[in-house]
Amino acid sequence: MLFRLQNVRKEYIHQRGARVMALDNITLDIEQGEFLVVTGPSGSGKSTLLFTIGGLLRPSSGTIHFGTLGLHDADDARLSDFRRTHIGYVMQNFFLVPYLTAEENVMVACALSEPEVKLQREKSVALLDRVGLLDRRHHHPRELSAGQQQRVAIARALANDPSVILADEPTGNLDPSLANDILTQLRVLNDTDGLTIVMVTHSPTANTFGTSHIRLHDGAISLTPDAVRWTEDLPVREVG
Amino acid sequence: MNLWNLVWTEMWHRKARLVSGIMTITLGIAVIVGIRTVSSASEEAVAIKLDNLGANIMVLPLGASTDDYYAADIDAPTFPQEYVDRIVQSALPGVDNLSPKLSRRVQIDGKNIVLTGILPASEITAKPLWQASGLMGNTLDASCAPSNEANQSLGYADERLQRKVIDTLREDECYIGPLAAASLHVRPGGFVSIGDEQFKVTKVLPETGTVDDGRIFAHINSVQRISGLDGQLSAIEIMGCCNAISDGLLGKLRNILPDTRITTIGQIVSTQIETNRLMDNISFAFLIIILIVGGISIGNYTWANVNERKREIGILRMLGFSHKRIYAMILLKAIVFAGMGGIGGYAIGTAAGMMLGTSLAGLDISPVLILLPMSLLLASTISLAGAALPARLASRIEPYTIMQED
Repeated sequence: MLFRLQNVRKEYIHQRGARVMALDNITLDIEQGEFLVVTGPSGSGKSTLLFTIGGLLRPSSGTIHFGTLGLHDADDARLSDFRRTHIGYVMQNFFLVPYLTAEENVMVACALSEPEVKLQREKSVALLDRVGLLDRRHHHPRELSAGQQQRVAIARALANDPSVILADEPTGNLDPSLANDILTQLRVLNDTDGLTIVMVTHSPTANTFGTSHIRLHDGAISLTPDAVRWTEDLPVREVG
Repeated sequence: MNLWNLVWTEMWHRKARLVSGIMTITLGIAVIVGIRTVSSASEEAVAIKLDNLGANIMVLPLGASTDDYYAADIDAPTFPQEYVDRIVQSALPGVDNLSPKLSRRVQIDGKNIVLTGILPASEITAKPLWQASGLMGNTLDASCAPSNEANQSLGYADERLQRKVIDTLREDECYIGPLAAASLHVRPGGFVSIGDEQFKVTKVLPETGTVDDGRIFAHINSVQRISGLDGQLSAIEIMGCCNAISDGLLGKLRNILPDTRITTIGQIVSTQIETNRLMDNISFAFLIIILIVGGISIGNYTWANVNERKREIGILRMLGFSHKRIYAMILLKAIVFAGMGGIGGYAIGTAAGMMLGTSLAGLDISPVLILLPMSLLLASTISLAGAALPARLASRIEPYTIMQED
């Protein structure tokens, strides 16, 4: 078991005192090599779940374990180390550093584990080559199309040889053909590199790229991977 | 890509803000450096003028009266000439010149005259007024006062403020004060009999308005011989650098010569101290203002910069940058600002001080190198103090909040 979430709750308290239960008693196991697709309506807690799994957000209660590491009570240094070592992020808005070139954006992620600039550059070049952007490595994000920016983000996500890719609406800002290209690349990473992928998406077509599927509704799982191992022709079923 | 590359690339990306941020520190440092550059030159100019008033420290035997500084050596008990060697060997900073003397009252033609033995090379140096008489001598290097050339460059038209010494005064020659010369009716080239010895009057000294006008000055060896006080002195006059006096030169001399009485001309020292205090207070007031204003300005700049970079900081946090690393990144930028601002401020402040000090105050101003490391230190203090809180707040930015905003 790669991730084990037990009775995870996440409650946001807004400025006017309003409480919102973003995750409500989530219990979930994610296996090594799984490509888990998380769907659900807006505000159902998909991104919160992803951030919680990724060590970006601590749950209000419950436990999250990555192997033996308890993410729910780890301090900032351990969580930062966990993100740096094990997790690659691919986000809807790409989150590239605007003043760095494509190559430098990948190098920043490498820098945390590889102090040698020459080696960082070599790795960055190899990764950009892998996503088909070698000729654009000196371009800044504003000089790249949305699809190209997302491919840089994928290259950056792979910079530290992570075991997990967390993708939050990775095709949300892309047209269908580019979206398919990005999803295919994620699928290849899962199939050939054995990376565990957790992808949050609204896209019905994106569902087809996963190996399992959960659906969230009001912060709770309404369709579990244990209940349904997702296949292309199996319709999503609302439960509970 | 390391932290330094990241900081530098970000700064270069926002060049306009980089310039405005650095200027905040640069101008603050420039003000301080400009003031200190001018005030240092001013303090030095005051020190020169005070030093040129002549000897200002008197070493006397215990029991000597100090009611009249200029007559304290007359009839004083004596102490060994070896005391001069002790001072010389101590190499105390701020001791510009030593003038050992032995004074005794003698009867000449039934008149009571003060005979003072001197070592000429040093004695003349301690008596600027004598120098107007055209006595030839060598330039004296002083530790805190400039040479004759420097004096001249400062525009001292009065030759009496230029230091010269005479090399020789033969043991059968003497100088005579104008009152003593009138009383004894002698002129240059004439002779004076003192005890069993005859002295040729080589010069009648110009009037000084002090007890010196009634003295006869002869070589100290001759006076010791006539008085039967071989190897004895009644006083050592010291031309002490006024800055050194205010920094405790008298105490150091007392440590070397514990069985003597050491006194100074209070007005000279207090003038120097007051001048220095005034300059220090002005600089200190500006320093406080600049620390506060500069710190707030840098804090404001850094806070604005952090707000502008929230998304980017969130990205770095997402990638695995810890709180500490983000904190270090912001402070590293503050240090770069401090370095550039400190050097720039020193250059601008020095240039402004030299131009304005010369044109407005008529001072000859040189760059004060010690102000460069002080500028860097001050700039670092301002920059780090101003950036510390925004850097801490930046390090607390949680990446998910930025992602949710998007």
